[in-house]
This record gives sequence, structure tokens and C-alpha cells, in this order.
Amino acid sequence: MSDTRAHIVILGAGIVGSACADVFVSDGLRVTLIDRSFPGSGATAEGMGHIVAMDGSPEELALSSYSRELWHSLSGSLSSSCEYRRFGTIWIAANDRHMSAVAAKHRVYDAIGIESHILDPAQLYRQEPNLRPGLAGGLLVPDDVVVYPPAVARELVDRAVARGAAAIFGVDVVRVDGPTVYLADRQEITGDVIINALGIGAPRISPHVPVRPRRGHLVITERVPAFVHHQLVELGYLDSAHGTSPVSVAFNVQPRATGQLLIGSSREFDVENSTVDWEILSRMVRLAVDYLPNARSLDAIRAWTGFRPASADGLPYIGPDPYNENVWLATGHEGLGITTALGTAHLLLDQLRGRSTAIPAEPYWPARILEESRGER
Amino acid sequence: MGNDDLSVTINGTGFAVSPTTSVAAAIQNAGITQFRRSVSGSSRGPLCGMGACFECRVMIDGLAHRRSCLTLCRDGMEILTDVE
Amino acid sequence: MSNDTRYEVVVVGAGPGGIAAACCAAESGKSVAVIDENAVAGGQFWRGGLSQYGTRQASQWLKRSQAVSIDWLENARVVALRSPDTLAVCRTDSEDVRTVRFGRLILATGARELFLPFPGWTIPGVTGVGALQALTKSGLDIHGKRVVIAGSGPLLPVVALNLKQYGADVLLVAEQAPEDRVGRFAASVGEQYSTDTWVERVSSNGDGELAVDIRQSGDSIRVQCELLACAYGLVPNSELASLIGCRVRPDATIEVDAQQSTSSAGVYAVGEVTGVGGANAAIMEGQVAGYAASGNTEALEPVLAQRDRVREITERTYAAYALREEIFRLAEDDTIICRCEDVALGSLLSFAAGRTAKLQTRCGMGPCQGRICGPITTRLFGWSSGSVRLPGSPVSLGQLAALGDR
Repeated sequence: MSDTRAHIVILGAGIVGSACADVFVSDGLRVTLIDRSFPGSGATAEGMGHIVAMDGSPEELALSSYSRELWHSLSGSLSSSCEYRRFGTIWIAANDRHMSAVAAKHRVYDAIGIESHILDPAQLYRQEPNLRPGLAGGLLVPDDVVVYPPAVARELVDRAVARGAAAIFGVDVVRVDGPTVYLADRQEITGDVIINALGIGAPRISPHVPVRPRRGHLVITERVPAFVHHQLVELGYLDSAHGTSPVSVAFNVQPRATGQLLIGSSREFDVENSTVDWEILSRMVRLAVDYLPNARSLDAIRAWTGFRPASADGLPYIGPDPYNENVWLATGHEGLGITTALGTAHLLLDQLRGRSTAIPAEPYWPARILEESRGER
Repeated sequence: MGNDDLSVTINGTGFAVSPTTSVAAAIQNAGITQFRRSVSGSSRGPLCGMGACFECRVMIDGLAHRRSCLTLCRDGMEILTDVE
Repeated sequence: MSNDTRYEVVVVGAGPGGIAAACCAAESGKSVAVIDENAVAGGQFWRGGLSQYGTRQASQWLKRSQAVSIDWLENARVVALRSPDTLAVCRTDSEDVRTVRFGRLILATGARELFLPFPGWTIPGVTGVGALQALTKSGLDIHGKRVVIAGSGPLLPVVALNLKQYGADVLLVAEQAPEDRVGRFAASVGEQYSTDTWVERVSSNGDGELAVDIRQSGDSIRVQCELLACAYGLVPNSELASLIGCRVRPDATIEVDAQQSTSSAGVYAVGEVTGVGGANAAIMEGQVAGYAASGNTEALEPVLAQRDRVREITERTYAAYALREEIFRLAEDDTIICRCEDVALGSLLSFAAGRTAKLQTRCGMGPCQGRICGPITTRLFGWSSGSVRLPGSPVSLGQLAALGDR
């Protein structure tokens, strides 16, 4: 983008849109950020806020580790309300088969310079005494982070606005025609580029983009400080996250800065209502108390569901929309939206500016899927 | 009333109470006003008296966050106030 | 998980309305269970059990409840619907869970007190009005204690008299409403009852001594006491109704028709959850719902008219206690609004809606799930109370795990 003062219109002030606004404005672009509600009020408010180097595929690892570094750099400027904590993650190995997966994971992390430590059982229990006996060990990834995403989204937006971004909240986008965005209150905003960061709502504006809502359940407990010290995830989680089974549940427990435990996680496709499903909720909680038997007596105070924007192939869509030359996409982040939001924003910025990107951008281009689906027709 | 045939301990001290006494009442009768500390550290005691406000939470027999106004004293009960 | 017994009529809440509903359903030949959080049936009005009260009304309902077969499930909390005709129920005194199936469901979940914040209202020793009565009935020794009772409503003089009987030294009963509207209550309490009077602030002198600043007929006075009981009427406990899907009005009352039927088929609601009206109205509504849920039209007819008469009287009574504007302006920037999460007034002022404020400040996110601060922010800022989330009231993870176990 040769015009240094180009006008970027960002649709959606979730964590992705908010990060884009902050990063773009910092680089001198003109930004208008639009959300039908308020910053961080959709999937951003419903998820865990786990910033994790995730190795489901080389591309996923590249983006998540790049983004994780950006989070580390951002952390100094976040206020305490963002609850940024470098708790780290421990991937739990229940058995010897999992332990060999731990070794493989360690090698993968090592190869791209991510610190991790293999824990034998004694080391695991020293880190997390509340885990049930008999586990095989684990992999500690010390630099993974926990944040409170709605506060981060709000803060990124506040910063962007303070530097001159325009924000239109509480107004829905009706349609996009060429470079113009039409809003429900009859405003028309024309930009040089429109960023579709609407999460599961992205197909409303870009109907050809395959984004499916993937429902998840979470439960939060009363404050029980120091009950666990790291985000604890079973190694089977990757199977759950990347498998395609209609319903999957995995052990995933997060310590919050408040001392509460946030308990996940479940994944379901093709469910649209937000009503908590007892079977799934209790399967999830059973898994949590199976790994953490002392948690049985802890009070759960709230359970809810949320919807992840799942792409067709497990990677987000970041880049030009091949069907609309005015629109760039930033959606399909599934369960990694918080982790990869900053990476997404920087990848987009560098491409908009015509600069080289910190990691290869092509794997995330939407064209990959759209051309594929066109070929199938 | 006056039928104090149960004994409980509150912060390690023994008290005789009647079986119709709630833990909240027993604590207040022991001269304790601060049941817990709020998340920013200020003193709190019962507000609603009927289980809605969660201000009267104490530890009972090792379990944290029990609502003392909803719990009747039982013989041998160990009650701790002002614990996280 | 234990068996899921089916009852033709299940009543949630064992206060006057719930007891009346259960009796009428059982007398109509239905199998009936009553589920209640407390250890003993009676609700707030008959706290500690019907047998503790010598009134004609209490004796009558005690007799009726003993003459029929009712399963009383006490120390039990309804968490939510497990399925459309099944309640998920957790014991409050153990880790047990069970399900209870119903043909008809009657919600008699009562009300809690309305608190409106003023500087110092979080200091221990400051309670609600019904709260202090409840604590006293459950064994709090207030003999010789200096007490100030404040706020608004017909409960104030009732509690004042009651606490006096327990030996309390009631220094003042401060009613915010003007004398011309509520004057006739003054006589029952005596000279301590003061209208046009409200608490502005409380501070603690240490040693359990409270200094209460009171606005009285334009003057400010300070009263030293040990206990301050202050509440501004009642708020319906309609969280369970919301979870079940019954239509709830913006003022948190459950919508019901002439037969106490809610918008959910087969679900009835009675008593304070349908509009604050006191025990007499609750008893009448309980009878209506009990007979209606049992299809006992013969018994239903006469109680319908009685219910309407009682409702009319109570509505007039309660209308006299409209709250004055000053009460909503007592909180200062550093006055706590959300007591669970310690969110002060000042940090809420910049938000336009409750959900934004909740996400950004944690207001209403604590264990009470907005039961105390929700009614406050509705009145101070006009925010609508957010959606109720499972489990409605905290249950242990062990219980949550067990509830899906079938």
C-alpha cells in the first residue's frame, strides 16, 4: 500500500479486529473499526484466553509461536485488568504412549526455538501436586500465557482510538459493496481496504468463505488460589482440537489471575443454540475431576457456551478475499483466535504495506480453500 | 432455646450451641464480626441472611466457601473464619 | 446418582406459598414433592418450621400438611432442568445429587431483600432487615444489642417488634417513605418509628461499634449502634424461572395468568416471585396453583376470588413505599456496588450497558451471580439484568459431574 494514509475499515472488534486496529494505526494507517456490539463481546468473551504455541501443523505452529512472541512484547504495555500471566502450559501424559508423544513434541518445539522441558512424574507432581497419582509425566512450556481477552480487546481499541482511529460501536454492518460498507443506521463508510474480522459472522459479508461455528463449553469455579499453577492440558487435546468427530471433550484447566479455575474444553460442530448441554458439560467436568480429584469439592459458579469460527482446514483465513478485491479476510481462527490475533494483524499489515512478512503468509491465504472448493464444483 | 447440646469449634475455640443454631449465628455469638475478606481485602460479614449474597462464607470441616447462614451447626463441626 | 422419582406435582420452595400449593395438590389426590434449600420447611416467614409459630394460620397449615402425604426434600437446591420434565437437584449438605421428574411444576422461590448502596454498607454488622430477623431466628443472640432498623416497607415495623421480643434495644426504625402514606404503621412500633428518615452513611468505630448518619426531616443525626439492618423491600428470586425459560418481566417478576400459570406449559409460579405481596397473598396464590396444577376446578373457583381480594389489599399497601430519589444517590465513587468482586460505583459510570460493565469490571461475575448487585445496577443505571447462567447457584464440580451421569 503506497498510500501511507490509506483508510482501512475493520469489521468486527473482537480480539482480531481490535489487534488489527491497534497495529494499523500504530503504522500510520487511517482506521475505522465497526462492531455491532462493543469490543471483545463475541467469541473473545467466551473463550479461555490461553496463548499457546500449538503444533497441530507446521503452519499452525509458525503462526502461533510468532504471535506468542508478539504477545510477550505487548505485555509490558497492558494494564492489570488484562490479567496477563505467563503461567506456562503443562501437556499432561497419562501413559507411556503419551510420554513418547511428549518427546516428539519437545523435539518439534526445540527445532523452532521454543523452550520446553520434559517432566518425569516426580517433576510433574512437584509442579502440580493436585494432579491425580499415576500419570506418566508431561511437557512444560514455560512461556505460554493466560490473558483476560475482553479487557485486552478493549484496551487495544482504546489505544487505537487515542491515536486517531474512528470507532463505530452498537451498529451492525448490513452489506459491503465494492469499497463501501453499509451500516444499519444508514451510514456509508468507504475504505481503501475492508477487513472482514467478523469471526463466525464473516460469511454474512463474504458468503463464499467457509466458516463453521464450533461450539464449546466452559465452567468457572470459585476462587481457589494456587490450586493449579499452569494451564494443564491433556496430550489427547490435539486429537480433540484437530479431529473432525462431531463431539469431542478434552481435559483443559486454566488458572485465572483471580484464583479461579476455568475448565474446558469441548468441541461440537453443527450446533447453533447456546444452551448448555448437560451430557457434554458433565463429561468435561468428569474429566477435570478425574485429573484433579481434589477439585470435586470446589464450587462451580457459572457454565456457558461459545462458538469458535472454524475454517475448512484448521488454519485461519488471513489475506485477500479472492472474490472481492476490496476485502481482506481475518477469520477462521477456531480456538486460537486470542493466540494468533497479534500475528494476524502484523501479517495483514506487512502485506498491505507490501513489506516482507515475518513468517510466510501464503499458507493462510483464503485463496487456498476457495480455489479448492471451486474445483470441487 | 438454651438447649446447648452440641459443641463446635470456631477458629479452634470450643463453643456449646443448640442444634437449631446456624453457623452464621454461632460465629456472631462468639463475638466475631469478620467472616471473610473480600477480594480486595476488606472485612465482610452476613448481609442477606438467606443464602443469596455469599458474604457469610466460611470454611466448614475443611470445605471453603460454605454459606454459614444456610448451614446448621452439627456436633464436632470445625469452623474457620477469614480463610481464603 | 439416585433414582429419579416422578411426582405429579413438584413444588420448589417451602415458604407459605409453596406449602399451600403442596397441601392443595396433595389434598386433590396428587403425588407431591417439595424441594427447599433450607434444613426445615417454612421459608422466611415461617423460618425454623411451622411448629415454631403459634399463629392460627401456622397451625392451620401445619395440620393440613400433616394430614396428607408430601415428600419434603430439604437441604436440596434445584440447579436447572435436566430435561424438559426433570429437575437436576443437589444436596446442600452433602455431595449427593438426584433428579426429580414432574408432571406439573410450581415455583415458589420467594424473594430476597433489595439493597441499595450507601457509604459503609459493606461493613460487618450491616445486614438486611429480614436478614437480621432470619439470623435471630436461627440463633443469633441479640439480647441487649443496640439496633437501628432502616430502609422501607411493611417489614420494618414487623421486624422491629420481633427483635424487641428477642430483647434487642431498637433505637430507631427509619422509614424513608413520608408519614402521610405509611403513618398507620407507626403506632405498632412506638416512638422509635420515624418516617421521612433514611440512612446516609455508616462508619465503623472499631470494637463492633457502628456510627450511623441518618437524614431525618431535613436534619442529619448520628446514632451509635451495634447492628444496622437496612433494606428497601424485596426482589423476586426468578433465576430458576429464567433458566427454565419462563417469561420474566423487566422488574424480575414472573409473568403468570389468572391460574398462576407461567409462559412455560405446566409450570406455575406463586408468591413473591410473581410480585411482592407478602405471606397472605402467597398462601392464596399457592392454593390457586395447587388446585390448578391438580385440575381440581371445584376447589379452584372459590380461592380465585379470595386471591384477587388479598392481592388488591397488598398492592395498595406496597404502593405506599415508593422509594424517594435521594436513596439512589447515596453511593459515592468509592462505594462498592458488586460485593463479590469489589467493584465500586466510580468504575461503572462509563458503561452504557450491564453486559459491557460485567465483562470489563467483573461486576456481577462473582458467586452470587449478580443477585445483589443486579437489582442495584438496574435501579441506579437502568441496566437490564443479564441472562442467568447455569448452575444458577454454585454447586460442586463433583455434583456437576454426577448430574450428567445417566
